[in-house]
Amino acid sequence: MNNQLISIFHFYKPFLTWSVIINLLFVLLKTPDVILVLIVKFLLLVFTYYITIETKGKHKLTLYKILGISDVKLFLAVYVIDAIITFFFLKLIIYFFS
Amino acid sequence: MTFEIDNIELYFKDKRILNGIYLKAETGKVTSILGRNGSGKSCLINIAFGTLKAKYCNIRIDNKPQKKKLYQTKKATFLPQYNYTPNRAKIASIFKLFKVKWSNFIEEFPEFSNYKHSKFNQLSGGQRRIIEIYLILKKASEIILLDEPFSNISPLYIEKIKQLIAIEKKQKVIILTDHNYQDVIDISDDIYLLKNGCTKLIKNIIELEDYNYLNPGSLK
Repeated sequence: MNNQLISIFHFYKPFLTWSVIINLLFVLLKTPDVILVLIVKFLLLVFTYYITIETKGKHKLTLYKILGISDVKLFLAVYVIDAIITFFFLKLIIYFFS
Repeated sequence: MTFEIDNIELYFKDKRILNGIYLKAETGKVTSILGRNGSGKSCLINIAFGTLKAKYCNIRIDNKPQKKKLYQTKKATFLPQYNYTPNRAKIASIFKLFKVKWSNFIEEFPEFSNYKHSKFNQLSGGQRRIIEIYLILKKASEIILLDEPFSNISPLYIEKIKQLIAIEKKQKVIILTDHNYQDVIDISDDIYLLKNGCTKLIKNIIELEDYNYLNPGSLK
């Protein structure tokens, strides 16, 4: 279980930069509504999932299957991790700038 | 442990790829699948692991039907044809994820000792493949599926890989497919030929010539 979690974080790492960029974009547009940001991110992740499984990108998911993690579980875990980070990130931004 | 797979039907659009499959593998034996290009060997291994969905598929472990995909049971591990390790991952961190000891690997392959903190994209294709094969063979799992473990590997390393397979088969079910038929024949206890979507258990390797998998006289 511990190894699965570490590998999920490993998969999440490249997503983190994009997640922060999206957060900042919403802050700059002065619409840092947590629910709205999470919905947008969910749709983007579904799109990323679709692109990944329909292209050679699906090869990158094999490592996680070897470790016992299905595609859906992997992307769902990434979303949950990101949602938690996003929630606290936006709450902090709202706290400091409101 | 016995692993059986049968009743597989696989279609790509209207083209039938697999239809009359029966394969049995056991702990203590290396079971191999031979067949021409495009005969469906990799598809069969992918179906067994759960990375490819067939129209019908029946997998039994110790006579118990498996409802979950094999990778979800964590009983099996799989070496695909392509590189499965992330380019920018550190070799040491992937060894940790697989719970495989680097020190044991260095005992077998001392020439890799300087690469512990390197990333996978800093290795040559062959070096990377050797590490990937080693990780799969040494990972704690009861069933190992190997898709072309001998391709892109130099002859010396092929011998080492064969030795490792011979060690691991004592406590694991090993199923493999490869085009290097001599190496496959060397290490296999059971060989299945995949032809016209069906498997045929080869009882005498001469049958490989009879079924036109090999040219007459190839085995002399």
